[in-house]
Amino acid sequence: MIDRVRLLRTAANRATLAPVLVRVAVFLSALLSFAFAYPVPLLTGRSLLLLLAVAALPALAPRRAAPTVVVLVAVGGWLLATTGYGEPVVLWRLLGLAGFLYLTHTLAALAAALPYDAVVAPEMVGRWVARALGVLLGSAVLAVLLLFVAGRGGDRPFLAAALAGLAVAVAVAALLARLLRRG
Amino acid sequence: MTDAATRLRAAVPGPDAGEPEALAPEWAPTRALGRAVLLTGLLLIAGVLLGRVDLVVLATPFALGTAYAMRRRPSAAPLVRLDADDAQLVEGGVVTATVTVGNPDRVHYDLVVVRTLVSPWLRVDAAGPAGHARPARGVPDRPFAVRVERDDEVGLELRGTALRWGRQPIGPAAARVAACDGLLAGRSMLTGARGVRVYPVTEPFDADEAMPRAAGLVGGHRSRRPGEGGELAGVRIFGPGDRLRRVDWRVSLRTRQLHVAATLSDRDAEVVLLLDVLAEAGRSGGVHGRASVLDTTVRAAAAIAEHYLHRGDRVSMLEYGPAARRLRPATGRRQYLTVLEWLLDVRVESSPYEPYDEVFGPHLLSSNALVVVLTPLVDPRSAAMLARLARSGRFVVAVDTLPEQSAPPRRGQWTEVAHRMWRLDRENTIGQLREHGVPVVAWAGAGSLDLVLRDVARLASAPKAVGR
Repeated sequence: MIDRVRLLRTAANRATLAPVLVRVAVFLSALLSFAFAYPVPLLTGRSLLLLLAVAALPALAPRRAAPTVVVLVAVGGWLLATTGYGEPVVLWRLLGLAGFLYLTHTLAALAAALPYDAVVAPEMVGRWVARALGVLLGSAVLAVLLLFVAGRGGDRPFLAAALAGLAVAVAVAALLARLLRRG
Repeated sequence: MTDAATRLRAAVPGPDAGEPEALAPEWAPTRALGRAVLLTGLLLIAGVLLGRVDLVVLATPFALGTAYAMRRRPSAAPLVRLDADDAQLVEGGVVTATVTVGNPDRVHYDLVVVRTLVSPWLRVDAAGPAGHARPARGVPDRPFAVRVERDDEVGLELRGTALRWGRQPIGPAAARVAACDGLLAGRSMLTGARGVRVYPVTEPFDADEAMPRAAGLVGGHRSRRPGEGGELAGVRIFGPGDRLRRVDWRVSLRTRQLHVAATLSDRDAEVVLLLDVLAEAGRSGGVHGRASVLDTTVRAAAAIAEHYLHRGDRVSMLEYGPAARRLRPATGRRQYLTVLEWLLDVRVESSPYEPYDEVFGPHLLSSNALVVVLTPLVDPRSAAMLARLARSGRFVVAVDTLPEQSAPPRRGQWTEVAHRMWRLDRENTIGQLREHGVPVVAWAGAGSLDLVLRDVARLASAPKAVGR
């Protein structure tokens, strides 16, 4: 126990600003994704404390399964809000949720590779975030197209989702297969 | 400047020589890649099963981000090189090292974490990109996180101060690379460590006294033998073979018989510096701090060697320890540089056994040599060795290298008393050594040995019976 406290104190003394800021960004992204996903009644009281604790997990342990857990918890909250609480699927909210979930994922990947006591070149973090924002922009365009196609489908959202999901799944499978072959 | 090889390959090609190197061990998928694929799959399956387009939308950034990041995969391992300034460096001098990470690939490295181990005796004052090193705060062994473009390299400079003599290692340096937005990680690349040679500062040392017995053919000391030299030995009657320029005309005119001025020949002397490495005491504080036994030993040895080599004497070095390292006697500046190099490898080697008498024995020392023994007199074997040398007729001077303030760590209420008793016992030993003709003097820089050398020279000039 004393050794652990000593280790924590050493870590606190050695920590540098940039890695800490990256981890804070991971926490905020996770928290904001919960804010977009969960219905308002669940964002108060004890459940809020619980969500805060879950949002802190990927910031504290980005190398483990915590980021995956956060994404799954957020998606669960989204399903709860849209089905259990009957909240409508609004574009800005969906795009916000998708964006913050991806930011949580990619910033956790950065935090996992970045030692907490590293001296960080600012342009490295800048380029990383810029690439993430580029991916989000592209995803937003795709999402609007997808929703447009789904909206044109009228009362057949199931079919639209199946077609879209199938198309993306095939594309991803083909991509991964190609990458594996090249590797 | 020297380079450290980064990648080793077999000297003899294996059976699969000619095959391209296996890429799998170089680059491995990270947890982030597994997470992205898992979440994409889960969200797509859930979207299809539940008929929810919004879940497909949620999966889109993961799929798109992964596809974009993995569109080009790295294939080559990064090149890491550690360069250290090998210029002659003295304690307190500035040392510079550069770690260079090269990217021979066609894909840029999003993140390269470079970490270098540095000897605690090298204080890193500034660190950062080569040419733009900024003052380093706190811990010197911080990793650096940089981005390396394709076909480019990034140099990280470490600039600091050498605090203590010795071969101070810089490195190994390790670089771990993440590419494809952190979805792939390269295995750590290591360089070897570089030993930076830090020479001891030589405290100013000067000994005016004559050597006890000069022995060589040429040198700066007057010998007891007549010959061509500068020291007047007397005036005697001219004999066959005397040079005319030696004729003393004043005496010749007065006595009406030719007289010549007789001189003593100039000879060099051999100085043996014997370093006691059986025990270390005191805590070294570097060049500006306290000196441990080894610090005093090495710095004093360098100073004494410099002084006598400058005067043209022959200096040899010996270690009193299990390794019994020795350096042959020689003279000149080259020998001084060799002595400094030899001193870099001095380290304490305690051993329960008596240092091997055939390797290290009085018979190996010239009988005319002045033996300067640098010893803390902590180990009883050191005092015994001094007594043996004195008994064998050598001119021995002991330099006490034990720091005044050195004390054992407090382990109980009796520690101080025990330490005081040990000190008294040691004083007793020193007194006994003095009685046996071994002067013991504490090292105090310039003029430390003057008084004792005078005594030794006086003893040397007196007739002496040596027991065989």
